[in-house]
Amino acid sequence: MTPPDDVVDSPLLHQLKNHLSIVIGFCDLLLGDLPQDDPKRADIQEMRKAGQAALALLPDLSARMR
Amino acid sequence: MPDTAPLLLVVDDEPGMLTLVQRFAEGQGFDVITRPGGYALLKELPNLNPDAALLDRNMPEVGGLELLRAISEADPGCQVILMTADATVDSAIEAVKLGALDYLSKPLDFDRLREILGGVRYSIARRQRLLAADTELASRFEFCGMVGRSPVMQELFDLIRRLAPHARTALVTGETGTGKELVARALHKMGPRKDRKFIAFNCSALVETLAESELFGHVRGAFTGAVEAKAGLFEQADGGTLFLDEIGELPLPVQAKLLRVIEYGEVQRVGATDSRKVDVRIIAATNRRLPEEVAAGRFRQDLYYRLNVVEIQLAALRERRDDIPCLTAAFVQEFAARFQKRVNALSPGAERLLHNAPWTGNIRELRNVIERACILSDGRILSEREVLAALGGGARLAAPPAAAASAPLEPEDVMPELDRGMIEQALQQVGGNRSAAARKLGISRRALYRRLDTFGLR
Repeated sequence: MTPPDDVVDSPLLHQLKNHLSIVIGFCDLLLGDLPQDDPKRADIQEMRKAGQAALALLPDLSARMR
Repeated sequence: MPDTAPLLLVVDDEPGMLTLVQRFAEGQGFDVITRPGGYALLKELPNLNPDAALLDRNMPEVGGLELLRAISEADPGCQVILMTADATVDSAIEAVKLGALDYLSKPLDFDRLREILGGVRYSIARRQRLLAADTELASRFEFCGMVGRSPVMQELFDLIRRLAPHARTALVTGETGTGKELVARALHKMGPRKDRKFIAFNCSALVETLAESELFGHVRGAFTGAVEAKAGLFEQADGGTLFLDEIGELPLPVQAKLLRVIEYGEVQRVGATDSRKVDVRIIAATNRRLPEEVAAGRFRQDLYYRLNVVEIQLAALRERRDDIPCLTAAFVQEFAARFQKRVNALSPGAERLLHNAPWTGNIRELRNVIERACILSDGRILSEREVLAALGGGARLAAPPAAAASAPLEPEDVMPELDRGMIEQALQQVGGNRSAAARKLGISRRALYRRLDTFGLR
């Protein structure tokens, strides 16, 4: 089997990715709702960035678990 | 139709995901129902009727792909989008092969989802506009309850307008369900007698003696049970119009009396010695070929010549398929209102089925099919599945009462025009299943076998 670009091969990682997707999704939703000059935007951006960073660790995590 | 936002079903085993997508899709103008998935959803599916569905691929009990299959089966018109945390090229191909509209990876790209939902909304609105346009057309091309924009129908309406003021007798011919009674009513309504009575009588409905007393009346004691004198339909319709449906079924002795009324304007009640003057416009109709009936000695030649001074031939629906969309739209509107359904569009598959059906029972059959499909439907879009079920349900069931009176014959008698091609086509459409083909053609299985023998198709 060819490894896909985005390996998530354990149920645990799968769940982790799901949860991160929800975190990032709600950030996107809030960013869409808030006006451009809202001061809270920066905070939400930080949350989103952290979520993305965690997401980016998943392939590494997957490789180590092998 | 702005009150009907499209319905999106969202299925995910992760509650947070459901809330997330719901919040987003509602912002895009969708009504949203969310479900955690599982066997319970499979059971509930036929009652949900979503316009689109967003499914998680990896779920316990019932996976997204299995759900996709179940949804496409229940309603091929529903557009399904899959989402997954572990998107691979292989799984995406598999989903699209199964009919998924798109395949999204998590975290969801909201811009992409917005685009997809926009496409779904647009295609639903387009279907609604199409039906609305056809309804518009139907009302523009409506004439005394008949709908037709095809040249043959426009010519027919023209003919009726020209004949209505003058014709004393008329013969309307056409297959069963082509609207012979509507033509008769139009001739009456457009003519000088429009404020007088229009009486319809089905010549095949009664046995000879009863038909005679019904038409011409009887005197007291004319026969057992004739306790009172009674005026016949001719006397009741005096000054107006009498519509004689299925004239080919009229027994020969009654034909002779009818001829007398037409020639001399006189009726004689059964048992009476004197006759009375009546002034009645007579419109006769038949789905039989009267010249053949004359040749076979079953119909009086002199009566035939009297009747066919003005003959109006009605085209079969399959000869004017261009009218099917407007007719369909008019019927959908009628039955959606009657059954309080939300239907306001047709799926492309449903449209195709309706356009290609053989329509041996003509407009009455189309009307019945739409009526049944509307009863079956719970969604906004009449689907291929509902139309197929309505078509398969036997074209002859549930004829509306107004139309039933003119279709009492066994179908094998009224459809000599079923030719080899139509039977072959029907068989092909149902994959060779003869019972299904017979239902589709609106004839009994025995009648189908007889025709298979005739055409050497067995």
